Amino acid sequence: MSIVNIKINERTYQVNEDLSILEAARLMQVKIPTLCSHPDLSQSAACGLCVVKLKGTSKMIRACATPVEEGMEITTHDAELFEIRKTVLELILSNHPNSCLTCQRNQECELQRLAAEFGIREESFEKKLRDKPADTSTTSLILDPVKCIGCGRCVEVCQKVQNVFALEFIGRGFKMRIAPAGNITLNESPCIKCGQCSAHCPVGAIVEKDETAAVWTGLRNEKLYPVVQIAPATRVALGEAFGLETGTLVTGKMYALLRRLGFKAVFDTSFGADLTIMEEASELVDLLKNHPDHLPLITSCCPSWVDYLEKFYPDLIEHFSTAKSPHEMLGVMAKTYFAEKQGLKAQDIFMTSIMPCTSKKYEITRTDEMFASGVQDIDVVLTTRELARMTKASGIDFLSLPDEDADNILGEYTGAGVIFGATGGVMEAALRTAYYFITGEKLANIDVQPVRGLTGIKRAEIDIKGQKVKTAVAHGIGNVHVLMEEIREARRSGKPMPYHFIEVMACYGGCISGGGQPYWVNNEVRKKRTAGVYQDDKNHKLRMSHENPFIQKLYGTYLGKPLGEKSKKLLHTDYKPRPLYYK
Amino acid sequence: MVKLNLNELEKLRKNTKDECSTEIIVSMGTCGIAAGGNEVYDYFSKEIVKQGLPDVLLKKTGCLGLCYIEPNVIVKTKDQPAILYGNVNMETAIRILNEHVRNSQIVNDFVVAMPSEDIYCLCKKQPEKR
Amino acid sequence: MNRYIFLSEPGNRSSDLFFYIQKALAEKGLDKKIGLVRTQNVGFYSSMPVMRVIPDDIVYKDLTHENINRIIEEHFIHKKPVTQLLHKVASPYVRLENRNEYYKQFRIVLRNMGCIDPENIRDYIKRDGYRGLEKILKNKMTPDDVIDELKISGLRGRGGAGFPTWKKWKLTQEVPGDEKYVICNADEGDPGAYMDRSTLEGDPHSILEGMTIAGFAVGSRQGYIYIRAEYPLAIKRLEIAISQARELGLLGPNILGTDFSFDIELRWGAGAFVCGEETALIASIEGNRGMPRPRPPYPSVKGLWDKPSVINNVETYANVPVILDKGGSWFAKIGTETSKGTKVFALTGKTKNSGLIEVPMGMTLREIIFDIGGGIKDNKKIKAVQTGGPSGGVIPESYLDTPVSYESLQKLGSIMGSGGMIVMDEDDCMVDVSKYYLQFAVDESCGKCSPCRIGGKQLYDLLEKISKGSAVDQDLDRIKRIGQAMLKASLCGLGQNTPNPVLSTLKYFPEEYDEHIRMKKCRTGKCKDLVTYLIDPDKCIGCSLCALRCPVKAITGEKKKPYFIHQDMCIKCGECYNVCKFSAVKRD
Repeated sequence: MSIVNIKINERTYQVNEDLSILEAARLMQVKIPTLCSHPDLSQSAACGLCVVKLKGTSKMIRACATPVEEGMEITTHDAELFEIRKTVLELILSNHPNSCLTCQRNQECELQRLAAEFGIREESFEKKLRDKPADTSTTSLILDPVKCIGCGRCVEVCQKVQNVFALEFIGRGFKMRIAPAGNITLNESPCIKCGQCSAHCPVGAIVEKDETAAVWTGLRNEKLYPVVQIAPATRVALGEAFGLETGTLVTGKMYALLRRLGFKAVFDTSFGADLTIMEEASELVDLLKNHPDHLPLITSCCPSWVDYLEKFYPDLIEHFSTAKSPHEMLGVMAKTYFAEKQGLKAQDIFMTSIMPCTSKKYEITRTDEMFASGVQDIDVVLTTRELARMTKASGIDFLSLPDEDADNILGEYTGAGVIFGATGGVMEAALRTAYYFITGEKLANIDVQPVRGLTGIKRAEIDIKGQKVKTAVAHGIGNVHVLMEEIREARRSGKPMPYHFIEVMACYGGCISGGGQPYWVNNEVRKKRTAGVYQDDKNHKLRMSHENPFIQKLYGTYLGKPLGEKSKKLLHTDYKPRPLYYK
Repeated sequence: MVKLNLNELEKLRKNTKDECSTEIIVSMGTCGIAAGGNEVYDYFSKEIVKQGLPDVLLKKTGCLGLCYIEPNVIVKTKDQPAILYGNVNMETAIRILNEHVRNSQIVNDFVVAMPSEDIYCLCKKQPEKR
Repeated sequence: MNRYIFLSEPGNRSSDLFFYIQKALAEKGLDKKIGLVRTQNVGFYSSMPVMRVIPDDIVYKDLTHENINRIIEEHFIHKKPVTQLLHKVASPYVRLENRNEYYKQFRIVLRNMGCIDPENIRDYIKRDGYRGLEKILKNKMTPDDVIDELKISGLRGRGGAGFPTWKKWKLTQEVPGDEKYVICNADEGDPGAYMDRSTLEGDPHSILEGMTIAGFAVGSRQGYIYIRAEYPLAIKRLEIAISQARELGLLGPNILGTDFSFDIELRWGAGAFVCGEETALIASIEGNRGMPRPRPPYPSVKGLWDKPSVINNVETYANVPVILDKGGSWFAKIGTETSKGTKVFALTGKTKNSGLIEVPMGMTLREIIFDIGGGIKDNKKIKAVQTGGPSGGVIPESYLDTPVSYESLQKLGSIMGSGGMIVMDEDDCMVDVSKYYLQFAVDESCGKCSPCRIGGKQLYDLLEKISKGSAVDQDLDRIKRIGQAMLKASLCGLGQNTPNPVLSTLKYFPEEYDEHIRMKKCRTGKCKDLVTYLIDPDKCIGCSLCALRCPVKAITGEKKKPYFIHQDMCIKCGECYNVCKFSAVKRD
């Protein structure tokens, strides 16, 4: 990488040559407007707002897609550029409804923000909107073509990052819209509900299905006993919605908030994660000891990953861990164990999950096993974004809330439970416990560094007293095919399995940058949220799931043993091949 | 066919000769076909067999550029300039075959106001220079 | 017979000129030596009658009896051409060999059109086909030698923008690696343009040879021709040509027994106009949706499957074999200082002769339209000429003496484009024309970038407003604003050039827009909402012709009394106006 000299607005700078003009300008505190460029994605250059002038050419060039070159002299702002950009922006606005007041993205919309910055005071061009109904077919997401500005970020993330290809540009010219190909709904498409489209959408065209009303209704219903659980990744992100530094741990404030909203018991999904580890690590140990030919074991906590495997790799279903995801485990425990203790019936309990994830909205009715308590184990899933909105609506001053504790026993977790929120976390937590299960000893270095970090595929070999356990971690589901093809190849050729244990999370970075997390995610944000999660791990004295005394108590008094009869009935699920297209 | 080497290409170029003394060439690009060139071509090819005209070679060629007077037919005989006919319908085609091809009588009124040498490059002698 | 006279007369051929010449020849005893042929009048010559003497290639005009006697005496008996009577154009055509001012067209790209059977490789070979390639391999030229030859020739891309071909090739050649591609853009889509289709149908081997030479120059082993599926005949003939070339060892491994290998495959386009844009074309070949991507990186460096790729269009490749065969300096003699060689145009619209033409660069638009196109049909007045299709602009009559070159057309707000040339007369409404092109561009926009997707639609709707008479003055400012934004901020050439037709008509014909907006009038009657047809009872004699011709039976009346047009039924087709022999139908 070499350094080049460029001039931006008459000032000379030295920058790395692999930067685009847009990135270089941003480093120099020069903000060039854009609606399509996103640091996670390759540049589609669609919106046309980032045009700049380059000395020596009469054309304007796109700052987002043009790499800097030695000697470039760039003008980013002048009267003509302002006029061109303003016209383009007004054109975009002419194709976008003025429904800001009732829009889910109100005050968080990139287009709205730009319109304010440009001082748009009139509509120069006649309003022309797409005439297509919103796609509400999935239980997770709403795709509204009327609001879509066609920037293509969602398509880019769905195809290039996630490798799902549920979204595509359809039609040409003014009629171009973004939808699944083949005149089908999202639910009939390969969509895995990961919600990365919604996290990258600059406007309110793809949003999570808002369920806050259902929660308000549940809270108001006096016959119900409302309980709630918060996922590991939410505690490092919710604070952003209230102006706190990215990655700030707000666990205690969240518990306090939820009690004030009216929940009678506040649990923590990280407890469910500890429970998951007990089951999943037991599965791993069983396979390693008794059925090595059935390896690898693949984690199944991520419902988008479950959906993806069922659709794209149905032949590998047998490698899936049958353990339910943490919030489902906690849900069923709340409606059985907790209910019994409280003298309640399962149907009396109203369980809300606060999740970083849009796919969890899909998971709660995925199979019959999600009704293990006799009723639907999780009643409603809210994303972090929805909780933030609900908080603001409630009038509660989040920042001045005291730190409180969760209700035990379903609220007490170890460090292993909370790192589920980051890529590699499930793997690390499982290894900590599996090591103990196999050797009876504590892992010497409890921080399993090789499985952490933002590298798309992380391979590591863990020595468990002479037995080499080969592991791989993939996140950003577009990366997973590499591992799956290796497994397929090994199965085909009869060669030794390249891996014994595989963790997959559909979203790049893991749940901390899930599809339901607060907007404006980039790698800096991911790193800070991840750091928050690992900090929480470090803050805990107990950092291995099997050490959790409440987990031990739960097994001792209720479940029996991991993979025992009751555990299997309540804590495990199954999978089936699903078609990529339902139509 | 056998693959050529560097020296054989020039030989092939030189040795390819017209085998027939008379040629009928029908312009059969999309424009020609659309205007009815196919029909005319089929007529010639049938009649050549039927009337037993072994000396007449029927060929097709691409668009001459005169799309507005398609179908175009070029008739090349030994002693006459290559004649270009335009707007050739079946009636004209019959006359071209009977009068021009068989009896060297150029069919008045259907000839385009230039010899097809302008377009069709004779492989024999170049026209004289002025 | 050693000479022929081709006689061209105006109108129907009932004049006695033919018989007079016949008699005059017989009197001099020349009737056995000189053949007289009566030709059909297809409008090659601007003045009629004319006669052309073959094989002298001389055309005489002003054919009075006196002059005919003089021609017979001086030309046929004394063998001295009568220079005073020469028509300025000998033939609208000329082949490659003998170029002369006396001819108008000059054929390099179309050199074999009509000369060869496109389904027979021997025909092509006989006409010096594959001699350019042969020379390279026989003389052991290096890729640099080939590129130098192109540099000398000055050949520029014929697809529109006119980027120097040698530079393009050089860029690809310089990238290390042996996986490179040669792509032929045969996705011709401009309305009214069919140069590439005709070339592919008439002379497919010239493209194959040009691409093979490109492959040699840049170090590629594989070429692709991206051709629209709507060109089935061209596809068929290309397939035949490719298999014949492979059989003879002119394509495939070890071409002509050397260690140079190159092969070509076809890729079909599904008819999206935008796939003629090179990056969209590459995406389409790769199996993706055809949408342009930002450049850089340019395809020369990072193209098909991210490998360096040369993309040229059909016409560019067709030039290459001739340049290698005859030499770059031969080619450079043709054309202007900056635009070398010839250009093929599909001349259409209101000219008498429409068709495919090839002229040396630097010929004026007037020569093209009047000398080759034969002028305007029905002796109407020319208003403008449109070049470059939906990406081009409209050039008014006052600029017809502009010599054709990349720069000159651009200066006028149009572009050379791929070669569509549509001539418009006084009956064409400039608002209507702009609307037509915009409609096309709006339909064919891929919809990716917002300036093009939304701007195009807004522009179109504003023009629609103007043509309906509901526009206001500020709408012109809106058009200019949007046009400027599209020009500057669209991603690809399609979007950047979409406003050209409307901006150029607005520039050259502001009064027409003004009439539409302020006076709610369309002088040509093309904008139907602004016209009414009325019958003047004083002039109408009640012949009933208009009522018979009216397609919607909107005209009623009694014979020999004035007829009447029912306005609520009238669809404003103008048929009554055109057929009335008594000027009784008024257009208002």
